[in-house]
Amino acid sequence: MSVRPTSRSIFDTLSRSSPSNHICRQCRRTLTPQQQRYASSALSSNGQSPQRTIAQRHAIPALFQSGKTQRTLVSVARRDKEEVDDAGVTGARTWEGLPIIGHGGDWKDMPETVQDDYQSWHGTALPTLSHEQLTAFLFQAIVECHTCSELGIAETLAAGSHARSLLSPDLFETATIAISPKHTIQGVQHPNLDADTTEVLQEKLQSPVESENTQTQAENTQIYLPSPEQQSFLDARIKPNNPMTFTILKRFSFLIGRRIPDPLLTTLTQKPTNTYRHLVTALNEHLAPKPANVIEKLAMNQTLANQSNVLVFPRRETPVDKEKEVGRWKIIEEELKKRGLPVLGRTKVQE
Amino acid sequence: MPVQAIKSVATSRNGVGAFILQCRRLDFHYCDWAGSSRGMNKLLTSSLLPQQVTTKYPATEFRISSRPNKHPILKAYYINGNTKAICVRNLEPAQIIQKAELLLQNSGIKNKKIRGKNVVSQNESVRGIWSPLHGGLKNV
Amino acid sequence: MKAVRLLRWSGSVLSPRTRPEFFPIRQSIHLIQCRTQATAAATIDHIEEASDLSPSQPAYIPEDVLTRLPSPPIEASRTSAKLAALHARLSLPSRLPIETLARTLVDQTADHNPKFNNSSFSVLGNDLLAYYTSEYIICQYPRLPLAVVFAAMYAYCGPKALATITREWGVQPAAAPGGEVDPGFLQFMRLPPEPQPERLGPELVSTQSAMVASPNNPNIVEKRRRSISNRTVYDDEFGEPKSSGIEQSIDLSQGVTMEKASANFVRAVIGAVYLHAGRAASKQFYKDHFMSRQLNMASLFQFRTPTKDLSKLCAREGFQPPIARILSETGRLSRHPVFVVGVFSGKEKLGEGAGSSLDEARTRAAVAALKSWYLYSPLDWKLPSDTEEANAKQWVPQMVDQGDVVV
Repeated sequence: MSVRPTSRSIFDTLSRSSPSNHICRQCRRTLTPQQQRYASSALSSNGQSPQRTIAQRHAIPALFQSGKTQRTLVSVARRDKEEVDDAGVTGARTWEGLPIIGHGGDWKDMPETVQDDYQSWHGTALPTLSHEQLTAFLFQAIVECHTCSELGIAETLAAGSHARSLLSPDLFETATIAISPKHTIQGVQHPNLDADTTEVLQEKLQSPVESENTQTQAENTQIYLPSPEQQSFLDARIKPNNPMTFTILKRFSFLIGRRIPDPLLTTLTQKPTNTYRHLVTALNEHLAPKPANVIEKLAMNQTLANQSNVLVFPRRETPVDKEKEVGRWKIIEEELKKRGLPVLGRTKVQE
Repeated sequence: MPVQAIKSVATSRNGVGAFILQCRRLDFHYCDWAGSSRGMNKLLTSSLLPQQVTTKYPATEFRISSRPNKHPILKAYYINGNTKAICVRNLEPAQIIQKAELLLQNSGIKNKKIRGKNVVSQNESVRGIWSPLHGGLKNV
Repeated sequence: MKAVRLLRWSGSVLSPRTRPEFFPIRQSIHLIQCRTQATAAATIDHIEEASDLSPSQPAYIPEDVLTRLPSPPIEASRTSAKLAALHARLSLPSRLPIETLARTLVDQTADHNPKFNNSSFSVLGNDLLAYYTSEYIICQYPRLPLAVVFAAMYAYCGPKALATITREWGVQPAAAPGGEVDPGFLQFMRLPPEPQPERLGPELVSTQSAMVASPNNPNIVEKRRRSISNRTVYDDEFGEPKSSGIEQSIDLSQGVTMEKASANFVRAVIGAVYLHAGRAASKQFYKDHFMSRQLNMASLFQFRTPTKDLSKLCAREGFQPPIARILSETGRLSRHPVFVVGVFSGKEKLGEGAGSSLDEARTRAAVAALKSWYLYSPLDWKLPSDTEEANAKQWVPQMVDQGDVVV
């Protein structure tokens, strides 16, 4: 009884259960690592029968074949250096003129790519607004809001306006904020206010959103700084129940380009004796750059540093500093210079 | 021949007249980056240090400097020339103050076991040490 | 606004140092004075100009200028933590300014200008110290021999004692004087190191009388016999010849030893306390720091012929001549005999001593007898300087002895 040669073997049984993802040596030579990986995973995932022919197994999907090197196994085996001349490609004999892939020594030398130009979405630290600037913006907000309310167009303003300055600087100069005996803002008095202003105002109120970033505008716009007499509003109390307060604060937050944090407002309005000065001070503190390290925190609160027996250093104490404190450094320096030796660091050895 | 005299030096008795605190300098080293220095950083920026430590020990020089990429430490320098350091990694401000007080109240000498009940004094005994040749001699 | 010792830097610590623009402050943080070295400041990256410095803040002195100064500037003393700690450690009166304490730490070899060094304070302090110590010793032990008085003076306020005191006060020397040094360091020019002569045995107050040149005019041949007694007139408080003016001026350029610099510092402190806080404060300071020290007077004696001295003393005082008698003994023929011998004047025992030979025992007994005589201390002794106070009691004359026995 002749035994028919069959391709079945015990190995077939084994390999059927767990298909091999082995790539032969010749395929490894021709394929790039990425192609190899794909081929390997494709083989293992497909669960193909190991009974495929050698040629089938080595058949590279067309997708992963490079345009120039479409070779089969046979042609690869018989490749010779002198014979290969596909589309003008010649084998290199030396390194000269070859492009370098990757960096030429230091990874930092690699050219910048599109990904390197990263812009954070979180936002960089915004420049702070000083006490004077905040006072000026608040003055502007109060004057504008009260002027609009007296002219009867407060509702439009309450909805929000994108105009930087609703009134002309002359009007700001001559405006005075009236404070009631109960220390609240009653209104604004303009000695020379004419009918044209109303129309101009209404026009400005309806102006569309400006494309420029409001925050940068807050710094760039020329603001009117109120005189000390005009700054009396700072001692006025914030009345949370008054709808005008909402309008003022909304306008104010637009002008400064930032939102007033809710916790800040809540804490301020809880105490009835809090004034607009408290608001400005609290906001200034909130907007101030937070100290990043211990030294900056100590610079803000100097109780510890003010103690007569305490010494705070701005940076790490180095051995040179220790020598300087004791007065030895100048001698060390002099002696080293006398001998022509480097004071700090090392000299380059000339070869 | 007349009496001659030997030159020597009078020894100090700290506390009999003036008391001199033995800890002359205490360094606080912190790190801005290390997480183990959180407690130390908190202590340095709070009001605990000036309230509880620096005002109570005016005779000690306090120094605060950063020691980057290291655990926070307290280093004390004493009048006898010794140095004692305690690593205060991962400690809370109150615990660090405890360690600081430990160092400030230390004398600087190496820790030694107190064996027995030895009386430590520079004065001789009041009743004298027993001698077989004095008092109560028996004539045989 | 009080100066903030926020950013101090070791050497240049002292005075305000760097230019304000090198100080890392933000616009919101205002009015901070910082002291950083010019070199240290240059390494700080986030630097902004301090726009609003108050006019009361002193000008910053650059480091190279400071290094050329012989001693730290006055402003530096106000900001030194080391100095403030020293002031508190010594419990100095608050009337003594911190600037004066800084000045007491500057030796004349560091800064030749007498307005900036401690030489003037040191002279005053030396006299005060010698006065207080001598009256304390003499009133407490009126019969003490002069050599022992000198030794006791040396033990309480001699240069070695003052050097020890400086160390105990936690004062450390600077390596080299200069303007950038912390004012809390003891600043002096150091002598080059020399091999120390070997001393065999303890250092003694010599009692040899010899012919010495006159201190006032060394060129004149005229000499005097320097004895133990006339040292009180011609020599210093320790019985040693006084250094002439020429030697002192040479010191300025060569330098001084650590011991001498420490001695000058301690004397300067006492002088400064006296000048700023008054006599009572200086006496209290002396009591706290010097009188509280312990010295075993009996250990200062060194006898050569105690038996002879004792017999001369008994003859002078009109006692019966001393006779040594064995009180008890054991092991006479053994390898370690013990003899207890008592020296008797008539029926009274003057002293007792034990030894391994009869001679030794007798010698020790004579020594004990002499010490008991010389170390007599009256029960209620008072210091003459107590009468200087306002509500002082009437002065009661203290016991004055005729002196140690002449052999």
